[in-house]
Amino acid sequence: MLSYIATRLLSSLFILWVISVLVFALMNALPGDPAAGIVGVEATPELIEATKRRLGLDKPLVERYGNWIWSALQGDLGTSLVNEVSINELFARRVPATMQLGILSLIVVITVAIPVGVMSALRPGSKTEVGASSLMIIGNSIPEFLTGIALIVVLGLEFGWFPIFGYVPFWEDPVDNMRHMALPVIAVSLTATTLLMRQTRSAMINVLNDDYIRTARAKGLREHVVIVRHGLRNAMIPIVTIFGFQAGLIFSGAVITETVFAVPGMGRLFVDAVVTQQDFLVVQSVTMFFAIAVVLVNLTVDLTYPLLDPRIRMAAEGGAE
Amino acid sequence: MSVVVADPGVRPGALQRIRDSGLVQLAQPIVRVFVRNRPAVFGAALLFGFGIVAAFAPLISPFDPLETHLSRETVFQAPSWDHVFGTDAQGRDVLSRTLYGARIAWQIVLAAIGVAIVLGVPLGLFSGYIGGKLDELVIMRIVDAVMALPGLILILAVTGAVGPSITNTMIVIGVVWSPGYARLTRGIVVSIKGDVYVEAARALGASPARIMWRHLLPNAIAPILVLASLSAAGIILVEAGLSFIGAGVQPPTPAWGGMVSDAYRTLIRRNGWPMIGPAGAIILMVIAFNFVGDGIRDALDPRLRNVR
Repeated sequence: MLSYIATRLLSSLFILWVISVLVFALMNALPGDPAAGIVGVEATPELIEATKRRLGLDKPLVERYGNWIWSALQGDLGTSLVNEVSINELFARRVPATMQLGILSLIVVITVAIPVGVMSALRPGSKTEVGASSLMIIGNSIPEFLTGIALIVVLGLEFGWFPIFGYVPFWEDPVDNMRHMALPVIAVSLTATTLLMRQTRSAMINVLNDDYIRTARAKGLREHVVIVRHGLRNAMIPIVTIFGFQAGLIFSGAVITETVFAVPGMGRLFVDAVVTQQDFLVVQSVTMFFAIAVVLVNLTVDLTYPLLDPRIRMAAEGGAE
Repeated sequence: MSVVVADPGVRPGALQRIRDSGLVQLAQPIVRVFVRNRPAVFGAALLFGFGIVAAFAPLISPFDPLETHLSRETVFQAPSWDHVFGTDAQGRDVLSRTLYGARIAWQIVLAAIGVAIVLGVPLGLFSGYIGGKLDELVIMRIVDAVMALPGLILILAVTGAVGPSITNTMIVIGVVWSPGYARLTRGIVVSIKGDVYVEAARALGASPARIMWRHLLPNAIAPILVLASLSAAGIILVEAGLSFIGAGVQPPTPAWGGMVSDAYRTLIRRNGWPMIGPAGAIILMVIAFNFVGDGIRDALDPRLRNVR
């Protein structure tokens, strides 16, 4: 078991390392001189050189990569190249909104998709099933920003139930915070919910046709025990796998949704840094933030496999992966 | 292009060769399954429509998509017979811009898939064929790492380095999508490279390049097509999202995502009419690609039924 956890941890770290190398290489090796961009068009070559030295851009690439990673590991992300604010400070201001948006969306996805998916597997042709199926087509085909705008127009402007943009920190006013979060969370979770629902339904349909389900029923077990203990438990592996993939969808959805609802989170920071195209240090750091978030969710998913399936647990205990 | 028809008496013509190859017999059941799938046919018809619109946009657009009319009466017009989707903040005809937008959308989908195939498929062929440490410990691990990150995040990171523009958008989406093609191709190559006909080709002295091109690649074409049709919808969504947040196609080029973004900025002060055309076009095109993708997958390769 320990060796299973160790392998998963190592492979997550390895993935993060590869991503950090790729992102660093991209930002630093591609054409375009950040120093020239910062000092402006009318800069003299001497000024550009001085700026380069100030930012440490005159050192060799490998050394710069080492410095970046080393200080990041020690908790220093560096200084924004545009407004000279420390990136740690930027993160401290931006991370809470995005983390809240991401975690709430993940919770919504699980609590909606799995029950509805199970129900639509049990009763094909029922209202739940028909509703869920149409939702699947919609959720699959509408970009998050259109969902967000539709929510704003209907629930925000027409009915006036929710504020349409902005963010209030949770510790300042929890109720107002949740009211601001409601629409972004729905917009972010819609696509992921429909995909997970589809997966849950097909996994359940597969499992419910198996012999042991018939045996369980024949033993006279109550229906909900059959469905949950014998059915859902065996369907969980594919469901959990897809859930790991959803994490990516949710975080990229958050990037776009933050723009729609003017949520001052990491997504907005990311987009602003990308569009102005000067703050490559911010782009690097934010990319790593999202990479870590996604890899963490997937690591959690990997670590739940042995809990769900004794076969994986036994293989893990046997020492092999 | 090729002029290899040295001896027409010995080499049959191209048409004859296709007939002899059994491709027609192979294609018939595939087409039949696809045609019986109603959503897929509906999607194909829609895509054909979008294709026509894209090809003939200058002929069918009632107005110039870039021509502005900045006066109180000409901006933010509600739909009318003159301007079916109304006019936007700069008095441009939204219908014309939406029609031209089909061009942008098709261009980006085709170019991005092209880039993804050109980069990913040879990498997968090569990696799977040589096998060993380079394949398993280097190339596939990098592919895994890239695929672990959501596409949009990676695309934004690369865009941060190269800057937003229509060409960069096509290339960057293609690059970010290519590991999927590499992994698919590599999987197929690994599963068939031990087959007898590959052994036979090697025994006859065929070069590795020839084995990959003539014996391994053809087995991967159907799954690659399936993947291409399934990834098209995702590409449209990502491109729309990118243009919406300002990191994709730049204004005044009429990309649907950017048009929605422009209209969204003035939604509260004025009206939402300029949003209807591009928003509807995005949704229709994504639905169409989803339907066609699922249809092609079911017809060509039922094994891929749960791949997304």
